[in-house]
Amino acid sequence: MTPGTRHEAVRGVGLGLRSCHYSELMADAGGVPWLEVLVDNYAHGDGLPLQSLESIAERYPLVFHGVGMSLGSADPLDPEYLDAVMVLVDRFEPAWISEHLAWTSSGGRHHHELLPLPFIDESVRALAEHIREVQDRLGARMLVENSSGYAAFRDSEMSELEFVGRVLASADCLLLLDVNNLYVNAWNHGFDAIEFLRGLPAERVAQMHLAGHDDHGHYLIDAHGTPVVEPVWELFAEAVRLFPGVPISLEWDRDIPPLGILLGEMQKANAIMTNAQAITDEATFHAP
Amino acid sequence: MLRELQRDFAEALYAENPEGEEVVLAAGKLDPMPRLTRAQGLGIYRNSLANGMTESLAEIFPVCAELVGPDCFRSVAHLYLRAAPSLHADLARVGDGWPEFVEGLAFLSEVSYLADVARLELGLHHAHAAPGPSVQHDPGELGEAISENPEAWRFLLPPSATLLDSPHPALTLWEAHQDRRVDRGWTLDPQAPGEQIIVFRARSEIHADLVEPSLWPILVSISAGEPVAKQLQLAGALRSSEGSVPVSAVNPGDNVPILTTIRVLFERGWVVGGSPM
Repeated sequence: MTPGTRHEAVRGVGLGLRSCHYSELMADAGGVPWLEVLVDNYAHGDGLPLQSLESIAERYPLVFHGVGMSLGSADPLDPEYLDAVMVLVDRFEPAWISEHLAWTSSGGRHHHELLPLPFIDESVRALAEHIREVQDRLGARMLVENSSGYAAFRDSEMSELEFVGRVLASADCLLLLDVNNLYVNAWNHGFDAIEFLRGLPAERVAQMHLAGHDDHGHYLIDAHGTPVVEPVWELFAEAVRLFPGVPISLEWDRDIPPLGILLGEMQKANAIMTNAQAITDEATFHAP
Repeated sequence: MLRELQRDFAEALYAENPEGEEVVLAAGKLDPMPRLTRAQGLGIYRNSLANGMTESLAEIFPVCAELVGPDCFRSVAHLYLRAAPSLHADLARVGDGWPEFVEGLAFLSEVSYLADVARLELGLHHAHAAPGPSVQHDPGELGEAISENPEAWRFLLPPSATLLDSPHPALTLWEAHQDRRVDRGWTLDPQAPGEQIIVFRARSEIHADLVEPSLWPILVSISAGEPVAKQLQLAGALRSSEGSVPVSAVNPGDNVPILTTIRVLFERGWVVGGSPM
């Protein structure tokens, strides 16, 4: 598969690969078109997880998604981790790789937690420098994901929307728009999610994420352990209208249900995409 | 400014006291949010960090978690989080220092076997992701090849192998939790002897095997990278002590011990090949 065909193969609604679904996916259950691989789960050793991924890769187009790169750290990127990821990229040739607009390490200590950034010029520069370093290694543009955040730094100089836009432009990278993260942040931080969507550079939106969150009454936590809630579906419908044709993947990381439940969520996403496409087509047909 | 903010934020995450000065310092650099106070926001990260570490450790050390109970396990995991910084981005290595850590905790001295059960579980965890052997040899052919000069060859354990010499019956204890004998009233015999154990992976199956005391020194010698001649000597001494083969039979040209004792190691998957020194 060439780089061009790999990108073309990643279309429609895909699924985040979880090991409990290996056997069903190997039996081609559900017609899942492509899989998103959490690259951190395979960066350790060369044993059974990689053997399983080899089998999966023979049947499904893959994209890689990471959580450990710490793109937003004030420290340099971890060369050992980056090397491990690049070995996997060379071996499995994913259509693309994505990471978070967050930091996970500082002072040589790895926190294994996506931590929030102040929206300041220095954060933009740190992210852009690290993203460009990864892109130079890849020889291609990577995707960065808008993270959920539960802290607002006093020193922040810009909105999240402006921050994301500046990072994308400075690093010349693409956006993985996590619709659930956007909804959670809009609720917790008190901004308009639709306005955020409309402010994004559409030409850079290359993938979307859908997931569930936990409702703690006053605030929401992006927990990936429940179905997508109705308001997120509504926001997703608007995102699909604004960014047509962008592939979507469903994430579920806690209390992972049987594959059939996930396939149901994917069908719902597909229906929304199809409906949005039909409305777009109709509008185009009636255009003067 | 970014480095300072990240340092202070990280200090607040690891602070033992949720209202301690590190937390106050970090909170002072935050604005309240419409739906969250500064303390609530920091609390979400502190809880997620601690819960994530507990869950990761419980996945690697499920029997240890059962042995001490969920509350104690969570408390020890939180202590570990603060005492043993994770130095690798790879979350799979987060438990590498856990056995030594629990061994050093005085309040766990009553479960003195806990550290060795942890070592056993860590071996199982790493065997899962370890590479398979690069080359597997036929023991007969290898025996012939090295019999010419056993000083110049060494045997190879599987890359996934971990050897554990425990003064406790760590494997028996672990197995009692696998087949749920513990739920049927099984208890550990305090007088039970220690166990010598090899953990390894053969193809896709992970094994934890009890090693006979007679074979243990041979495995230790192989693990230390010593030449085959050393293992011949050990196997010959074993035979001699059993009265079946005289010590005088063990010399560089004699492969009787290697073809009997070492073959057993191959058949069990404990040895997978050999390489020139």
